[in-house]
Amino acid sequence: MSLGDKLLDIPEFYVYLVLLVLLVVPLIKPFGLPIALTETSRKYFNTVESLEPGTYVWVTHDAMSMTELEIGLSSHAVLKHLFQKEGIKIVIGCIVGEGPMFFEQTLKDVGAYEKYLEGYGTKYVYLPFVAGDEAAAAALATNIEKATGGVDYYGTKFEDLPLMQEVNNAEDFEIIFCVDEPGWNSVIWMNQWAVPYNIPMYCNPLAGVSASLWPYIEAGQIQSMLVGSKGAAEYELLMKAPGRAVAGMDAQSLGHIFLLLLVLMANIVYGSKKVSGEK
Amino acid sequence: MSQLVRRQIPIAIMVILGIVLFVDFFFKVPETYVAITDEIKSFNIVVAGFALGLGVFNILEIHGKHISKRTPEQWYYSVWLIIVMAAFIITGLGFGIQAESFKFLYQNFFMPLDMTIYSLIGWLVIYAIYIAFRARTVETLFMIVIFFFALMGNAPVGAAIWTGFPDIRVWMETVPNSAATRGYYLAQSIGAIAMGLRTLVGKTRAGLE
Repeated sequence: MSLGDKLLDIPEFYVYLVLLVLLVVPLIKPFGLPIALTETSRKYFNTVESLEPGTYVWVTHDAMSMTELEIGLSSHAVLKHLFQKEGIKIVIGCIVGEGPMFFEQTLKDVGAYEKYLEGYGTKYVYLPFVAGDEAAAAALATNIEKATGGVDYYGTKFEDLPLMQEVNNAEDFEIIFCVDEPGWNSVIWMNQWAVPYNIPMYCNPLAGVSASLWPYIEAGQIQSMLVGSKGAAEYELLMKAPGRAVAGMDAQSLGHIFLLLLVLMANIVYGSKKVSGEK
Repeated sequence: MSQLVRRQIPIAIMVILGIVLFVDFFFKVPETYVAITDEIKSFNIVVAGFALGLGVFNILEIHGKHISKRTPEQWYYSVWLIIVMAAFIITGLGFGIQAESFKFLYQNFFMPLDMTIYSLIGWLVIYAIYIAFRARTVETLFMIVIFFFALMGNAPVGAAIWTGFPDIRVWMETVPNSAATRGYYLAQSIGAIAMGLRTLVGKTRAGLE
């Protein structure tokens, strides 16, 4: 086997080994490469920053373990920001079965768990999982009490939760933040909440599906988004609180460069073999 | 009688519910009408809950057969699946999903496994790109060029090398990508409208078969 052939068929083990080193080293010792801020992330941040006290916010916390490592970074940043704002009233719902498993952990991570113990029921409420995907979102839009059975995640009745006396359908909310971990829920909430009730919506999609949301942003049906871990890193920088997302960006850069070099090298070897007539 | 029960009545229910909800979504309707559609939507949630339960029986049936037939290289996985499912169901229903025992099971078994499997996809994709992205045709060369700009526009290192990379990426997303995606969505929506109309006039029975 010639060197060219070997370069065209490097065993997986070596590729993964180099990748592992490239990902781990910057996590231990970050280089601090500058992170360019995108317009979408700025718009998202500025919106949260400008929320007035008394604003009713609907957060769809559609979390799942599969993609929590990516979207959890941005959802934590946004929730932290929301909880830092005084006087905002937040209702958190979910139509993904796994969502509730991440709720308390998310609050602990964003440092809101103690606040939760203090202000639960008046500052914010966490609703139970509602089955039925888009039909569930539609049901929540028209009557939250009926869709949830009139209880929150902990089984507390709405009549004992002052915040739930003030809101009961999509029309009562002024803004939507959608934590979209499954990859298609932004469109569900846009269809059933944002567009029919004319509510501005901001979402946190996976980097891999963000491209499919651009037409909706261009059309003004979704106002902006935080794309994957890069969006989370930008948000952390805008909050002046660099965290896990920022720390992971150098690793992402090295991983990207390594992949580009692999593809480039393979194509140079492949091209030269083709030109020289080798099979 | 059998045809009536198995086809006509379900189709009639489907058509009536479809029309009722269609009117509710697209028109301003009186409060009494909204109350009726609220009930229908709530009923949908109950049905979805039952569907989840039905899934359990479906899994039991499929994997029960594997176990009883001792399907080679499968039956012991089926046994394990049923044991794990039973553990989750018993703990969840018995103590509730907020109980520490259920959280322990979820956070120490399901969550790390699920996260690992999804993360492994990223590694596999990297190797797959290295193997597949060879400029064998003009189309693949075109794809590699797009891949290059998308990657450099996304990672911070791209902007560190040349500030134009993020701008190119934004242009790719907002112009060619949006145009193609919009076309796809429009085609998909027209198909959904056609499907919806067929359902409303009782021509589609896919859900009943």
